[in-house]
Amino acid sequence: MSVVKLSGDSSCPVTPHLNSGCGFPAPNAEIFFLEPYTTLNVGGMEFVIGKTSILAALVAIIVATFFLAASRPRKMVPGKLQSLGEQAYLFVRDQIAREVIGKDGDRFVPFLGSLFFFVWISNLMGVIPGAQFPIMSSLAFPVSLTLMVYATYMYIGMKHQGPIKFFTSAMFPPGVPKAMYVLLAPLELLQLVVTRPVTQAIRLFANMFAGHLLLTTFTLAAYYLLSPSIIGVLGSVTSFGVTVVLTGFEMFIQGLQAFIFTLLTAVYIGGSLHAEH
Amino acid sequence: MSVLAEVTGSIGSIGYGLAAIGPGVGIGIIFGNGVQAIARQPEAYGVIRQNMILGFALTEALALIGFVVPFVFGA
Amino acid sequence: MKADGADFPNSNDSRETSDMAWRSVSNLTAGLLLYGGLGWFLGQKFGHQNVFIAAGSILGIALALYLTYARVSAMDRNTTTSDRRKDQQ
Repeated sequence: MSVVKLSGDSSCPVTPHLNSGCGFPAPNAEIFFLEPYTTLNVGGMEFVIGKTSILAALVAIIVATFFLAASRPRKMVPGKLQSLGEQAYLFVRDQIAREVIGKDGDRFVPFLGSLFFFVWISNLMGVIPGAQFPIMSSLAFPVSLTLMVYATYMYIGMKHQGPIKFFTSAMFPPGVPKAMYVLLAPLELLQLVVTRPVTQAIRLFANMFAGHLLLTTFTLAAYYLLSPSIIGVLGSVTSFGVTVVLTGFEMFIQGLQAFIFTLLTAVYIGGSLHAEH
Repeated sequence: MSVLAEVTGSIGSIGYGLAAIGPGVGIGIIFGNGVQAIARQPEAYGVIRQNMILGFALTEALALIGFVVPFVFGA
Repeated sequence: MKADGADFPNSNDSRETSDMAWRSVSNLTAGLLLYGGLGWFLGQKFGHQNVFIAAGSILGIALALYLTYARVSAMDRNTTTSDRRKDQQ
């Protein structure tokens, strides 16, 4: 917990207890800025190797290794690992791609599956002891994933419908009197180009940020309240119980946010493939 | 008159938090009842879907107005 | 195991519904940002920033609601009654 900074008193330890005269070190956004381990300087650009980068690389290796290992034995009657990999693939294909895009979404299932499992496992790192940092809670990661999705659906839309028609078919909604077009067209254009990717990234980022902050607050409170007094013991035990419950809730939210991110990607790709009426 | 308790800091965020309670409950009710209605009468899916989405948009608008108000009335 | 168009509803329906549902969130945010931002910008130029931001945001949200309503009624009109009856046979 060396990253929790107390403002003000320098005589207080980093994680104080209740009656030591120091206030509660409420975690703020500072806990998300982790100290880097080393900094490489490659050709004028600085690469920071810290916990976040190592975790991201680890998640990518885990997901890739799992799917490579699951697809290696190609038996008709699958063993356990192959069956697990098949279930994972079929989950993404049936529940996300075919539900939303239809039959011709099959060629996007690798992309959607990679997104889903990368986001989910990296979210899970927020509750695995040792790592305990959901890498999607630093804004760069959802933004980079969203940029990939953005490039994909823009490119597909412009290739499939023609560059001009892609924008005009979205900008002019049917059933609206022509006079309202002046007011509504910039709205639609902004929604297509800016708001869709921004809300997708911020939804994932805000959920992971808030979840991590919440867990940190209650864990710190459990330690802070640990002192030989009635309110101390009561508060500490309650905080610990709340931490356990919130961890379970957080695991559910992590899976849900991964699913929503992938679902939104599929919705945007589907909207690019099938033109609006 | 002495001040017993005081809230400092960003009161706008407290305002938004309070403003988000109502739409949260409302959206839950809308979609819960919509799903139940679809389960009872699946052939009315189109009508139910249309009203569900309209109700959701109207309720969400209130939450977003709550997000803007601190900027309007704040410093 | 699903067929590629489910028995009920057909896959176009579910795609349109989910598309429209997520679209309404984006519509509201975009309307708020665009016309609220316009209001902020006008407030910078003319003073009385609060009034302009408030008016712009309300206008943006109202337009976004109207847009959602227009698209939802168009979506409903596109699946006509004969299409629905065809699904049930």
